[in-house]
Amino acid sequence: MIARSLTWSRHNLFGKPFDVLLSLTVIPGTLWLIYQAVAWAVGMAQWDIIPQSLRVLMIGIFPADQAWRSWVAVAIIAALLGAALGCVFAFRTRHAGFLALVLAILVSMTGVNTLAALTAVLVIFASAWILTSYVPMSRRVLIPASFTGLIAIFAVMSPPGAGLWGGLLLSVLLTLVTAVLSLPIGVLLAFGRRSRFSSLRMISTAYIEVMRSVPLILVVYWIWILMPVLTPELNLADVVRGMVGFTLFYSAYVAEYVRSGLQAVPRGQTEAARSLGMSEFDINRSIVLPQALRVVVPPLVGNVLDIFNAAPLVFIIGLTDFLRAGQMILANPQYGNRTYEVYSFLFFTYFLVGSLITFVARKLEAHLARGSR
Amino acid sequence: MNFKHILMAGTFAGAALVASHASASVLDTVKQRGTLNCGTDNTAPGFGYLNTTTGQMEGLDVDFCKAIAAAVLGDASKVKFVTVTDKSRFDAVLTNQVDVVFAHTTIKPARESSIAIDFLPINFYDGTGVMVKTESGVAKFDDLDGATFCTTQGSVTETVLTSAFKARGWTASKVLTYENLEKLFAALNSGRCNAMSTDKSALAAWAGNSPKPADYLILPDTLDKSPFGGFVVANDSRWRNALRWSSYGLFQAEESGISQANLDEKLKSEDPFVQKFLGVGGGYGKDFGLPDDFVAQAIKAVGNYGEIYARNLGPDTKMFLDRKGTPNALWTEGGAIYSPLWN
Repeated sequence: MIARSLTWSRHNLFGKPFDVLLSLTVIPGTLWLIYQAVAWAVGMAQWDIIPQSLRVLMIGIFPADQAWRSWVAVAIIAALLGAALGCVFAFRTRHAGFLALVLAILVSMTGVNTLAALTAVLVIFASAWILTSYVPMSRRVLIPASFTGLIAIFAVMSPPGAGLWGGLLLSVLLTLVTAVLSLPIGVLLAFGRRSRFSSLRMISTAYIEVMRSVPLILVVYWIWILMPVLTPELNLADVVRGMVGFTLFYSAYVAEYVRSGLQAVPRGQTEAARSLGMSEFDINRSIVLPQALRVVVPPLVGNVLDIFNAAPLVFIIGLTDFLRAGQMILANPQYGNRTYEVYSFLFFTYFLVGSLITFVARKLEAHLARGSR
Repeated sequence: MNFKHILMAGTFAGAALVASHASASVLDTVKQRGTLNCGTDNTAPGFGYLNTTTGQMEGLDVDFCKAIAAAVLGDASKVKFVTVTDKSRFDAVLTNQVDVVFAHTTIKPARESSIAIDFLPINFYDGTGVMVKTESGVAKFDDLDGATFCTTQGSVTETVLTSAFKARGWTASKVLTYENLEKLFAALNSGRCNAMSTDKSALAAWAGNSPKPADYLILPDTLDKSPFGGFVVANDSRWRNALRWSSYGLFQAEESGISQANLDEKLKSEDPFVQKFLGVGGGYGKDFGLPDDFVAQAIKAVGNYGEIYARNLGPDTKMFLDRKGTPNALWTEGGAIYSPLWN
């Protein structure tokens, strides 16, 4: 064993003079950094601020006595994510142990009073996962179910006032709504850009190019200013306008991904379909789009990660997303010296969610590649 | 939305902005709606921030929102806090998304002349101050010739300091900058700076939260004035007057010794001015389109100006800002908090 690891390190770490130099600087440096970070985290950091302000970090200023509403929303989100996961990644018994571990970690962080709710959420997640893993029929209802789920979330979260949404829940909701809504709009735009009708083509192209050449923050701010002026009687909440801005912006990106997928479909496919006498609409719906989407699913999942990471920009229109919630806690003079604790927590949560999304994207890619091999 | 649409939307926006000026006063809209949309910050300690223990918004600006809701609608709980940032606060008022903004906004001429807003009375006087260690023996700014000053990166304070040096012909003085207040304070303690300079309200909070507050001295000089006031959309005198006099009401209440605690007693007072001021048997409210007891309602909700100040910024809070000897004291005590004559 020792001999093997020695051989391995001689080959990989100390093979050439340059490798030796690199290893001698990078390895001790990294170890030193890790030591410093751990020493701080264990010895100096005062982590009590995290459990104390966890509710604010998770749901912002959403009233505490209405917190059950946010749990319902979290359960719906868990069901949707579980169902989506089941489509590409079959549930195995060993995953149950993993979920139990996640539960244990979450409960140890938040205290036992959330045990029942967290268990329920994870059970719902696992059930949805199992359902789509083993009942292929259920996958067909996933798309209508996600729209219904989003509407249900809005219905259950709205009564206390949409202006109160915040924290990590807001970031996740914004990401979900944008990801789900930008897909159909993006597909339509992608087809519009390839359309035979030049007016449709020009409008779609102009839309995509304009959106892609301006920064997201500008689009969000514009929509926020313009909507109450254009539609005073609608009186949409800030959070809805934020979602509209994000959806309009990311639709253009989705359109470009989908277009690249459409171009990847071999011409022979459409010609064969045409020679069978299929209509243009049927060709696009049953032949071109399924093959195109198969190609672009991995970049589309990457796009979801982009949306999640861009979500903090909504602070500009006064929304309290996850990052802003952390800053809001630090604004309290009594917590002024906990900057590093709060930001470390934000960092790890973002890192965790981000790596989950990239993990799913990698699995998806592998799953889809199986068919084309 | 293609380019043509954006242009069209812009035109509509302009037209609607113009149209909104011709429509009814915000006062009527607020009364009809039954809630006040009040723009505040949520990351400004002492002014507008979230108390994470109670889950409630707190601060001087937040209390002013509550006072206005109580004065206009008779119920301080009918206020909806809309978070605005330094960037969005003016647009929020111009597009009627909020009825009034209280967000530690410095009153400057360009803000009233080029943005269509009108300011309300000053509710807090801040300014750039200088803090030194007590052991240095420095008593006033002019003692600091040749000293090293520290401030935060990219703040206006840096410019303020260098122009103060130029005005006094100090060539040996220099400015060091740090990325945040925590590092700045550490630099003062370690002796790398002779003086630390930033907003006076922040200086007091840092000294007060330290283990030994007596080790620090905030110099009496104010290098750059920064008066804060709420604001409303321009050209709506009815709304602006109602809010101005609601604010003055809080100042006058303190001057007349009417507080949250003794309000019930004062409502039975025989003093004709107190009676009229609190709206007992007819008051000042009707002509503003407000209930006659609007000042009494505001006091009942948040207390007079002195109480609001003590609750959010005073020496008993984490802000440690003493009013004594500052413009934030009542004019009768040498400050600048002043209400015009009521009767």
